[in-house]
Amino acid sequence: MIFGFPGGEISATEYSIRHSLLIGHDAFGRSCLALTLVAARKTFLEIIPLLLVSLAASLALAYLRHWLRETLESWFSFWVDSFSVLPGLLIALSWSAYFPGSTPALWAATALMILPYLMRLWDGIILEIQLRQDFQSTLALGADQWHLFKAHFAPTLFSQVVALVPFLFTRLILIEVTFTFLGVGGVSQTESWGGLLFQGKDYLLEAPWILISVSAPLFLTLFSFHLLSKTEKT
Amino acid sequence: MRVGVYFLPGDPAEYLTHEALVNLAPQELRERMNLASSPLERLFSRPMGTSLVSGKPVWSLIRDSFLRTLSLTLLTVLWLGLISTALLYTSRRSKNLERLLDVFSVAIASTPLFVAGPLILLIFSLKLGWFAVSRSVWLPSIVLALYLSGFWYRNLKGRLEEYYHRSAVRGARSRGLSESKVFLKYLLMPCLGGYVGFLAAQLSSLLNGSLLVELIFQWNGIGLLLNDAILSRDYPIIEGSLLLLSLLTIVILFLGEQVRIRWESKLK
Repeated sequence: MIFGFPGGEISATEYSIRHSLLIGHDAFGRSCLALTLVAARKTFLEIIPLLLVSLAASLALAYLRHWLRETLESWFSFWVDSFSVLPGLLIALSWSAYFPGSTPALWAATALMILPYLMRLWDGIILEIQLRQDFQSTLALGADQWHLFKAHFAPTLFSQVVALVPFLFTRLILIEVTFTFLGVGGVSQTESWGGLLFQGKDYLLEAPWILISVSAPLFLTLFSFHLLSKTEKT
Repeated sequence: MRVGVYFLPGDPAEYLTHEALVNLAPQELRERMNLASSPLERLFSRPMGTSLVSGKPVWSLIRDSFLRTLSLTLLTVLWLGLISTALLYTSRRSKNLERLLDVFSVAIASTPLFVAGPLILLIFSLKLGWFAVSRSVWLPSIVLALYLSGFWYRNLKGRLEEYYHRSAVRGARSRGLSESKVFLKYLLMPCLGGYVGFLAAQLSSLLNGSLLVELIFQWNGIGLLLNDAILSRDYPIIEGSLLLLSLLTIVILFLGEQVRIRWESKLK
């Protein structure tokens, strides 16, 4: 089973033995189809917990930020806005140079790229809710924090999260594939999508099918999630 | 970055020599990295010095690479402007074309640079021979512009929407002006200030994209320099490059915002 329960690394060689050749072999004699499916499984198993943690952390930080004192709030905004306008890929990549190649370093670099964007997004939504008349009147009547969160913030934020999930999936997949293409996260037994694309780039003239067979499923995945996010927005 | 190198536990010089990343004796490396001085001196010493790998001044390496990246970025912006304008103009011709271009822009955004770049390189450089394989700025700039055009098209289309139904545009059409003149004078020109502001805000995505494009096409810009420095843990180059890029982003963002504000106040 390809999309089975997470647990342990799966060697692409094992898959090659069990799955028949469909598209071609890579430079090491492994089936491109098997490699692509294994890499896709690995990417999704890494992206899903990262997505949940990023959403939870960004929501918590953005919500807490609005209840900080003004000085702290402005400093917080300054750092979040700075990170969101600076070239995130270069900063996250440089940051990974200070840590040895490992999966947690890859997760941290990915989170560094997605968190500022999410925090700015939630910031705008929370500010918009705070300016609403019904929120202001509830606040004036002396409602406590929990009631304000339950009645005003939670419904809007939840609906935004549901609408945002497909778009975030595309963004996280793209970030993860870019980092593994550039070599962040070290070498693991299971090939990653980015690692396969890097190999495909190296053998472009001799074996162009490696790049094509790996990039076609990636394109279809990203395209589907993009269309899904557009549909949800409308 | 400085705190990471100089203040976290462990000896960075020992790590670099142990991992065979730098071909220097640990003591010489410690002198170059200024590890013998006090913590305050280390924190506020000059950000650039000499490269740990090549021994050359960091500033000269970064300056030469930056100028090459600048040429790539300027050419990319030019192509981006032309492609986005052409897509926006074509989308106004008919509803079907608009839908087709919407799908096309999503398809472009779904094709990563490191997929499209090598494929375009294979077809146009290796098979057809229209462009040089490496050390040429034309193909990398076109690839980067094509990749960003999907995203830019959707954003600029949203900005242009608010001008489509204005009375000035309706009046121009009723006076018999051609569609291309109406598009250029009454739609594109008012948006130009916002376009410049948007361009400044998207500088970070341009720099991110230029890193990948320089890697694929072996263009010796600051992205490739930074990538090589990261792989060899050449901390002075990493610090110097990031300092320059961060300052540049902030300055250009500020200038872009000023241009947008002045342009829009002039239009009013």
